[in-house]
Amino acid sequence: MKETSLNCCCQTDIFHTFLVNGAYGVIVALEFVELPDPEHNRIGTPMFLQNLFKSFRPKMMLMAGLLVYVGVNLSINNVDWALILLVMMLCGITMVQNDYFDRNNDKKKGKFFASENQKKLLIFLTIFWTLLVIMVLLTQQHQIMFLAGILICF
Amino acid sequence: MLPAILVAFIASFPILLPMMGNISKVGILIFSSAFCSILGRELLNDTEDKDVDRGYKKTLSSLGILSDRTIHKISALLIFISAIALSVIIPTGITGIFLILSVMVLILSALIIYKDEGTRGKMVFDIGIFLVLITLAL
Repeated sequence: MKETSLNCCCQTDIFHTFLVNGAYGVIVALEFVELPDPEHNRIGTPMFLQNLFKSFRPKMMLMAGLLVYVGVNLSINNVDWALILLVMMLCGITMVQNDYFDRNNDKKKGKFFASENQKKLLIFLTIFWTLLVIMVLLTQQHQIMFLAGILICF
Repeated sequence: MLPAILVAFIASFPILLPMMGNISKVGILIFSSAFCSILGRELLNDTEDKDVDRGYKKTLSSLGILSDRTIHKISALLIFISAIALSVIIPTGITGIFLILSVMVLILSALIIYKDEGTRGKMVFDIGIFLVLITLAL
């Protein structure tokens, strides 16, 4: 009777070791196999675009645009839509950049978009910032150059 | 505290952009109001994220320098100052009525935050600040 129980215990141990090693083997194998991105992280899918749009914080962009518009209303200048648009873009891209920098910490809040799309976001940020700087230079907005300068230094 | 002040300064700065070289008294008042309200909201955000920020960001809440209750009181005070700054510039006519209503929403949000209901207060504050901006833009 005693022998049977010992045998049973050994069998359980062997099974357990097999399971643990098996799981470890799977984990090791996964590190060498580059799995394709899941559906929601593929560029161009509605889910990816939706998450990217959310990263821009459209509400904050609208608020920033409204703030500039209020400033325009108070000044003697004419409404400068290029200035409003550029400030909105600067606000949006700064929000995305903030998400990129906080990607590891944001995981604790349940936000995985930036951490799962690290490389894509970095490429996107580089392209977007370059385009924005070109736009600023083309529009010859001295005020926006000043703000962009502060933001870049920041 | 310094990052929150910097964020509030940068976020409220766009209002002065179109007035550069010709900044009016009203412009400064609206800038101050925006600065105080954004700073108040940032401090509120910090209290909500204090568990996540611990060891990553140095905020008043995450470092435990001030209690959540005290930070809520400071936020409420800042939003109240912002509402007072706005009430100084209330114009006459329909815009004035709308601005008074918006300022009242802001004061209500300050009261809710003062009662330690940060999340609900923040929601009311967002509505208030949006109404203020729409009214001033019209």
